[in-house]
Amino acid sequence: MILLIPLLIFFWFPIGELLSHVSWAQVEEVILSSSFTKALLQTFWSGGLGALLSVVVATYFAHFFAQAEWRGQRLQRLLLLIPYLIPNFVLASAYVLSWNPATGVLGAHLPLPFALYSLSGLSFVFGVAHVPVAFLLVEDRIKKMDPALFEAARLSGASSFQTLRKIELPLLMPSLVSGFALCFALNISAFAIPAWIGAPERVFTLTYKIYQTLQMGGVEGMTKAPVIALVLFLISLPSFVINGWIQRREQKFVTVGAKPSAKGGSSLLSRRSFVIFQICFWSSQLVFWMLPFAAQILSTLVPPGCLQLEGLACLSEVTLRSYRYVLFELSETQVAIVTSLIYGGVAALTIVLISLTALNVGSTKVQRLRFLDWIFAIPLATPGAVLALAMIVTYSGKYGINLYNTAAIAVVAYILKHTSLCFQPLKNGYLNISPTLFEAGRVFGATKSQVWTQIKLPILRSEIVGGFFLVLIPILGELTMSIFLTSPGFRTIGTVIFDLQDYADHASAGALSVLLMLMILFLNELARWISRGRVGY
Amino acid sequence: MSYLSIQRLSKTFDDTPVLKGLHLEVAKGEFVSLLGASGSGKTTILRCLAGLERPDFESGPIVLNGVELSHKRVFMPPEKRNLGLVFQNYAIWPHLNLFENVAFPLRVKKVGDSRKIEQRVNDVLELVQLQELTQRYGYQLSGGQQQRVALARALVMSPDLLLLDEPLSNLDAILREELGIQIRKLTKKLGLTTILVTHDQSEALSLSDRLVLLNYGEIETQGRPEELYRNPPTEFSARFLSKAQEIFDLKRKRQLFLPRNWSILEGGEGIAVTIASRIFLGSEYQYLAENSQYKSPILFYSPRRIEQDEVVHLQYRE
Repeated sequence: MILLIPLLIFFWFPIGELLSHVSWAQVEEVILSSSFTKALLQTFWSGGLGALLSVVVATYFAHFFAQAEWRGQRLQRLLLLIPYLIPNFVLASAYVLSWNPATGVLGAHLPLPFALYSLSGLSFVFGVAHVPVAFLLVEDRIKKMDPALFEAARLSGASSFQTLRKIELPLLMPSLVSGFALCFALNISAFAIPAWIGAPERVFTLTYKIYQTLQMGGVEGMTKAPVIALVLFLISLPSFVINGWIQRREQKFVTVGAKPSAKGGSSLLSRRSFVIFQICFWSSQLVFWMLPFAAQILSTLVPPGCLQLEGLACLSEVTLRSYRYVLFELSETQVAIVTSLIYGGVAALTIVLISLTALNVGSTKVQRLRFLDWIFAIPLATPGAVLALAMIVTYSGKYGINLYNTAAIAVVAYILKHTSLCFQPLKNGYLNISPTLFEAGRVFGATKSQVWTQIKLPILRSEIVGGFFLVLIPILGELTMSIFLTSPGFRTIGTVIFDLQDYADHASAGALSVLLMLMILFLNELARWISRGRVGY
Repeated sequence: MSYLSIQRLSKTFDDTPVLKGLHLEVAKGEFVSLLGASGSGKTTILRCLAGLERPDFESGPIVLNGVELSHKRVFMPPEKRNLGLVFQNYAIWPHLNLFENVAFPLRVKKVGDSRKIEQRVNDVLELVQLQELTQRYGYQLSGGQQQRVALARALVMSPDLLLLDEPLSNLDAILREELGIQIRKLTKKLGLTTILVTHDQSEALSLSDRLVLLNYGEIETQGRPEELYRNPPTEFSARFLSKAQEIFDLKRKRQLFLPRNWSILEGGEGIAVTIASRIFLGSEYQYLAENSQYKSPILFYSPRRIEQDEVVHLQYRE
């Protein structure tokens, strides 16, 4: 009850309230409009194509990372996961700087085979942004497979390609479908990438449509936006259901060998395929994010527009002016950094406390913990724009509580959206501990609370501190909900970057993005160090 | 009156009865082994004694040294029972070093000042010969050392009852024998009432004063190990403890033989058998021998080496 009541008040009730704002007449009006139909189709196409790209690239890389070992593997793995750590809007703005049709700094030397501001461009950036998500899922699945399965195939006469096609891929199929569903859900819920990449050429998706409708303001905006949000919620639900169903099925068919983590397949990978993998890895990473980020960083170190006009000749004019400006002259930045850290910290701390309470409620009962996992996962699967809009329609004074234009509404939304990210690793760490350690505490004289304070918390210390950073990182880079829920008195780093970009101050937006990127990488390393590698990437 | 009394102990998990109204009395200072196959309920008895499981409502009382641990609505929580328990996986807390693991029961129960605690811990560690390794953590200890830490932690509070849950099962054969002897010596020296749970016949036979054989949640039989081994009172105990062999004669009459009761006779008397197979066990050989009286080969042991196809004469002594 201690967990269910807040969830009812802050999640299910607002979702219900959002639904109550929708009438058939509005649904008809919105759905029959051609702009909505176009946005819906573009959401499907860009989300689907992007997810397909993510899964294909991720599966190829995961095949090598899970089965082979080589010097520098950890660094390469971290490089592969960078787009996951960096907020979407930072990635999107780097792409805009690099390949925008008018002044893209990479366009002349390394043109993309399609226009960036197009459906293909949007799908491509979605794909790049979520390769790490699919990679983590598929890699985990391959690691859990018994290497003997592949060795047996090779000994039976199958070539490495046949082994991949006839053994590995069929076994991986549930994870591939699950990865596709997850990436699709993330793509259709994303706001920043459509705003940066799609909007300039009017390739709108549903999330951007909600934002646009709300920007219109007035009664019309407030009545149409819930309809679009409802449609977005409904099309994101199947992904959640498919994921849950596949995960349950996978648990039934997990093949565990004598040494489940042994990289037994490494000897079966040919040198030629490994060299091709390395070429693919480095070239893809260069295009996916290294060159765009290098251009982004470089553009913040030279006078505005110089890179576009003079290319690398600008290096003679290196200056830290943009950084000085955003850090010391732009008061909004200082306020946003402090606000993001304070409120992000409060939200992350609350999430850790909620997760610990959930562990206490769940005890060592796996079924109960799985149920809690599920109820926390629903807000995570709900698109941020839907959640934000539901909060706005419910807590804008209608029921005597007016949180709109306060920091509280954003903090509550951050907590709802990100609790699952902390609870999952914490739960897994908890279940990995033998219950006899806790029972021993009781037998040797400790009360229930003493078992918590003297045994459970110290053993879980790394996961707890790591979990704090694991939710702080996405909260710092959050934009989708922040853009709806922030107010003049409450600005986050993300919304300030969005505004700077909107005012065409690319140099300042870039400098602030680079600072945010460094902050996030530092926090990730801190999480890894504190948790001795158990949390973080 | 017995020191530990368990009356009509029942425990059901999801409608499956694991213990079925079991009675057990244990005298002070006695070393009792609960022996049984997987699912016989031996660990559940231990967990009910420790307070880690609550017996079914219809169970009778569990009384230790005149104090009721559980009965109907009475349920003393585990931390109040003053028991020592050695877990099968030892349950060494990974965030505490060896010293702190052993000191934990004294600290949570606030037994004396830190000097007194240190003294007591050092005394117990000396008893299990671990006084040199106090700063080490669980992962820095061998299996045998971890087992001794678990034992020291169970002994540090001078428990009213020592419970051992298959404490030797994770160790290699030599260490198992060595530590088994050490446990026996320590419990005798300290006069501890001990209950050992095990599925290993030789462990139960060699360590205990009394052996309790369990069969699907009920006590099949109990008694002194030598008695039960030599004269198992039931068919189940004969099979489980003495590896009794079921053989049919030519008239299809079923008979039960204890392999240890067969002996080789010199001079052509007894049943003539032909050696079909031989396995070397170290101190003796195990043989399977074909014969004309029984439909299946006879299993017997002998220190003498006999070649395959050789004919010998066997005699069975009840």
